[in-house]
Amino acid sequence: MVNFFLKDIKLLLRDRTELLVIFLMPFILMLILGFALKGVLGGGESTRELEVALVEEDNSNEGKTQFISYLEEQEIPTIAKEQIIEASNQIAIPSIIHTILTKELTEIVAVELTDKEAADEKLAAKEIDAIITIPEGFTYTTLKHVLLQETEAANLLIKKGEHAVFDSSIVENILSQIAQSINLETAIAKESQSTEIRPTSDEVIKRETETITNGEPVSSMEYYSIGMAVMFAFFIASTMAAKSYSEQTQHVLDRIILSGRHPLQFLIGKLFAVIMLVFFQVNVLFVLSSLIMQSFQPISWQTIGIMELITFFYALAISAIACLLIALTLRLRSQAVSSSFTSGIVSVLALLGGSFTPITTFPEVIQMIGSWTPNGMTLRAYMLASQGLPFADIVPYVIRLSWITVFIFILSVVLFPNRRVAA
Amino acid sequence: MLETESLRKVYKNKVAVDEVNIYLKEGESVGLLGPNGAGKSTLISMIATLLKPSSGKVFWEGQDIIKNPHIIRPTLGMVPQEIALYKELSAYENVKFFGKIYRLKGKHLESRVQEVLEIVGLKDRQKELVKNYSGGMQRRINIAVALLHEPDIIIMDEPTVGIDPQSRHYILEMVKRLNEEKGMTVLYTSHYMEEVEKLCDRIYIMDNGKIIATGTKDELVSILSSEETIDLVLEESSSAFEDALRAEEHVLKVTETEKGLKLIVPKQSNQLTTIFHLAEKHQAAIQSVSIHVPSLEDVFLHLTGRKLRD
Repeated sequence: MVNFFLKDIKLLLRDRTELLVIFLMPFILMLILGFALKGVLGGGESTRELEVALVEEDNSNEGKTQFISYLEEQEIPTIAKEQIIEASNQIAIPSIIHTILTKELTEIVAVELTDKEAADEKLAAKEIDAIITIPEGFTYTTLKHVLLQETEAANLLIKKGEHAVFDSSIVENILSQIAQSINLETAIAKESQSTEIRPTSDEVIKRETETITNGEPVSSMEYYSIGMAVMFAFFIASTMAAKSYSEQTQHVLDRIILSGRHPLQFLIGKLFAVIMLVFFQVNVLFVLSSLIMQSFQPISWQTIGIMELITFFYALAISAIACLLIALTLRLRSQAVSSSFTSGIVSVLALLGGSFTPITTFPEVIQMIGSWTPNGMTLRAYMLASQGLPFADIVPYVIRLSWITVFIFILSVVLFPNRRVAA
Repeated sequence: MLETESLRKVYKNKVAVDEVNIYLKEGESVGLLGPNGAGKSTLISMIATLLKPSSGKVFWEGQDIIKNPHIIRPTLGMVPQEIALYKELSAYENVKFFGKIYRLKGKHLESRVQEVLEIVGLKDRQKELVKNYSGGMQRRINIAVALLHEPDIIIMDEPTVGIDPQSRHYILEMVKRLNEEKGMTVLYTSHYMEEVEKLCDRIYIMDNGKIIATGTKDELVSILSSEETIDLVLEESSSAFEDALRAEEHVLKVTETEKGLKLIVPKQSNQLTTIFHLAEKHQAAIQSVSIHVPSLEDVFLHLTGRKLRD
């Protein structure tokens, strides 16, 4: 079996055209799609709206009162105190945020002001993509930060739905707009009080973004690294089937049968070769994406481990698909199986699985079908892993993938022409 | 040693092999002669247990190998008509890979690899990729792989198709040595008459799926022992002349050749006068005439009415 495996690896490594298709094409496509379809994931040029609920837990008046009380305790000249209090009265922080979201970023987000419970329900029902929460004490902390340069910037909480797929740049865009507005308002307020305008920090607010499980939103490059990885793994399966067909037509397979080796050894050798190649292919793509496009950064060792585990299970699934293609190719003595898989079925699976665009934009039936494709469920598992979810949340996908793998492999063994492959 | 019993293979409505009975004795070199499409490859695929017959049996050492293919497989060397090699691997890598799947190991494997490469004369070029070899060299490696596990019988399906005369001569000499010096039983299919004449002790002539004649070369030629062959080279073909010859009582067979006609006539029947007379009458210009004793080619022509390479 090892001999078959080594032979298959050696043959593929000497086939430059196949190598380019398998290892270079996914990277090129990832770059093209990552840049060209950035908007699909919520980039600035997109017309697609991000549905957001705005929850105000902060009481602006209380915050100002608290700020004034704090100011009174400070040892600063009375006139300065009066000017700062006057400036603080001119800065209505929740109002700034509300205006930015509802009037200036309407092309990116659609905002609905609501309470926390209603927002959580809507997020759970996938009616909205995220919740932006202005937490309690936000005004107080922000005023201390912008007017007194004390304390860290306040946290604006962004809670992202598990179902939602959007570019992290959209979040940066929102926060940047809010920060600029607060800076501007602060500057105007200070100017009107004839106080010295001190440089203000760009980081007027900080963000604390989370998915339901505290994950980072994925960037378009990350998304398409994963999308292309799960799609191009299919080509390894079809390549192996095409090579099996050559071995059959050139009667190499006859020689193998005549050697007394069980024909299944031929199949198992290919299975291991596919596992290794898929594992290598996916890792090459992720590493290149990470090094060149700074995708998946920062990433923890735990996330790396989980992603490698997903890759391993996906490699098993692809190897089972390869076995099925090989079995059908040899049984039907036709290259049509691998060529139709390459030219048609891969594209359909890639589309349904979300390799080209997130399937959340598709009708629910398509989403359901897509979630049952091996690439679809693997893509989902990678997404969750890259958002930092623990392995326990990914296990259901891995188990479902394993069941499909076992089913396909058993089917391929049943269909594999055992006794006389040439007959 | 090897025997077929009423072997038959039918594809849909076409009978590829029809009730074939052949046998091979140990150490014998047997030729299977027939034109393309005669059913030779189908027959040997069934013998090699690669193709299931529609009916009939194949026995190896008295045991039915259709039911139990593993009986013959370890002792069989198969040289298919196709180059059954990995062309992206070197000759050495190919031979070694097949050696390993034949369960040869370690030093024994390495020595066998070098031995067979020596036999086929490619030891010095063993590191080159097979795809860079000439057709003749690829065919030699094709044979080398079949010899690796020291089989008792080797089945060769037209191993010299499409190669240069030098490589062809090398392969023929090699097969002859394997048979004569190593006592290997050989079943050799070809549509080259001279190859079978040179290599084989006995010959089966096959056409349209059937064995139409069998025997040693002398026995087959004796089919035409009372006849002789006249080859006529004509300036231009003449159907009137050909028809007139066919109408002649003592001209047994008339066949068109590349440059004229081939006639089979009774020995010492002095037909030349009649032939020249008819040529003059039908204005057919004869460039040359040759009379010779029948060859296997003539026997085949006589039996099937067509040439081997038609």
